[in-house]
Amino acid sequence: MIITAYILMTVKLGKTQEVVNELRKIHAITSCAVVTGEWDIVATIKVKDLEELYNITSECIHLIPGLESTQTCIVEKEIIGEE
Amino acid sequence: MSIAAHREFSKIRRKSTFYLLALGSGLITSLWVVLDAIGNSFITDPYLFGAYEMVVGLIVSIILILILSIPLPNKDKEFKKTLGYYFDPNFQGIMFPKGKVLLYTLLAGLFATGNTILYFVLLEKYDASLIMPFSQFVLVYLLIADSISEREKPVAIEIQSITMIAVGVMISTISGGKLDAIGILLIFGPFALFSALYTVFQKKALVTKNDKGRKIDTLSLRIWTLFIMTAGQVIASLPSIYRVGFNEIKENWRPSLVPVICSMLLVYLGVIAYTRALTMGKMSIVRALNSISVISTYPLAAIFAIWFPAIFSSGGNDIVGIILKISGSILILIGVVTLSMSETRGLIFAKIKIGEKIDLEKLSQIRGIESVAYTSGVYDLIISIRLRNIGKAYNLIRKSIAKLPWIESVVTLPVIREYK
Repeated sequence: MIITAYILMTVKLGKTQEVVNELRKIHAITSCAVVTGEWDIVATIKVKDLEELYNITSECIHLIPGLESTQTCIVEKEIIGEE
Repeated sequence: MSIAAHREFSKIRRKSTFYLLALGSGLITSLWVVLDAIGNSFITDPYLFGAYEMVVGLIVSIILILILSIPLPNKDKEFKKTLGYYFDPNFQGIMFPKGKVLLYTLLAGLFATGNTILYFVLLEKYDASLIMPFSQFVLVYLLIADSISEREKPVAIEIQSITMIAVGVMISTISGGKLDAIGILLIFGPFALFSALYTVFQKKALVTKNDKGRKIDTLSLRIWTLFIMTAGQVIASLPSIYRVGFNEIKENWRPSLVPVICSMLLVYLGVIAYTRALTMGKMSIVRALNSISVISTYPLAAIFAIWFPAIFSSGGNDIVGIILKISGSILILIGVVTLSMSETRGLIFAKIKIGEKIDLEKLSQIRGIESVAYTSGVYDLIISIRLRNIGKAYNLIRKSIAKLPWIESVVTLPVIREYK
């Protein structure tokens, strides 16, 4: 079963684009939005299981230079509004 | 499992993809218009040429889709990656429409055929340079269609830009000629309406999921609508065949074959770009952006006039005509730029009250909301919204989301750049 999660991130001042560029190299990340407010970047990740989520967050995302903090929100249920 | 889960992360921003597709389909259309004019110069009867073109088009499109169905090596076993993936990431080989999707495909094909046949009928009596400008009325129908679907209601800036584009197209394409009441009724009525309904049913076919939760891809949809259109065109050409026989085609098919093959391949790619854009945004906007073809046809026709001066004669150096063409083109460009600069997306993080029953379905049905995710972590809900301006987000929250009794607090984060 595919697991979807939102990863909310704060980045060091002036490092947003570098972090975004690094995030775009990660295969499991399906979208990435630069936002204003409490967080700086919100990325969506789709993985096969929690093991893969752990591997990607700890071995790829957390190592990105310029990233200050992350918060992972696992999606339990998602409803997409019909067009 | 959804195909999106297996897709690679696009290197281009979502918004850029949408505008690239919609404007790209317009640019392809202008190339097609030029090649079509060359092919048409060999076979002059519009019905015969139409049928010949569609039959050739169907054959080359089938060959193309078969080539695009060639599987590519892929690590992910659950996802069949083909050459067509690079044209539409949802393509996994030819898909047969079933149930509602089949009905929508059939209706799209029928309205497209009706539109083309009506064009030929109008062409017998009126000048093409009069029919095309007034057919921009299709945008009005699409705006109405977008308004009917509650989620996609157009806002003032969209109506403004679309009107600007429509008027621009009218000004730059119109030239002298006479149009009577019947002509006006036919163009503004069935002709534009059929064209609008073709777009509406293409979109409906593309967004409707089958019982396995899959949607039809744009490459397959085009093949099936093309089948219906070809059948319609062949039937419509029967009186012409009866009248003049196959002689014109027999004598002229050779020189016209290469331009027709090229133009039909371009049409296939153009329609794919157009329909992919349809899945990403409002119909009226996609159609309006597609009108860029009006501007790009001028330089192309001028280049081709070097080799085919008889087909692409510029009609002299009429200064009024040139001024009208330039002012119309400026209006179209301003309209396109305004549209592309006025779209906002946002994320709303919400916390919910403990002890209250929640209704996510109801929340996801609110206009402007793209998706609602119930998550673990700091927030309970992550709501994705798409709006024309940030002021609308205020209304959305104040009037709709905050009124739900089970919402405790919300945090809004406007998206300033997005990759998808």
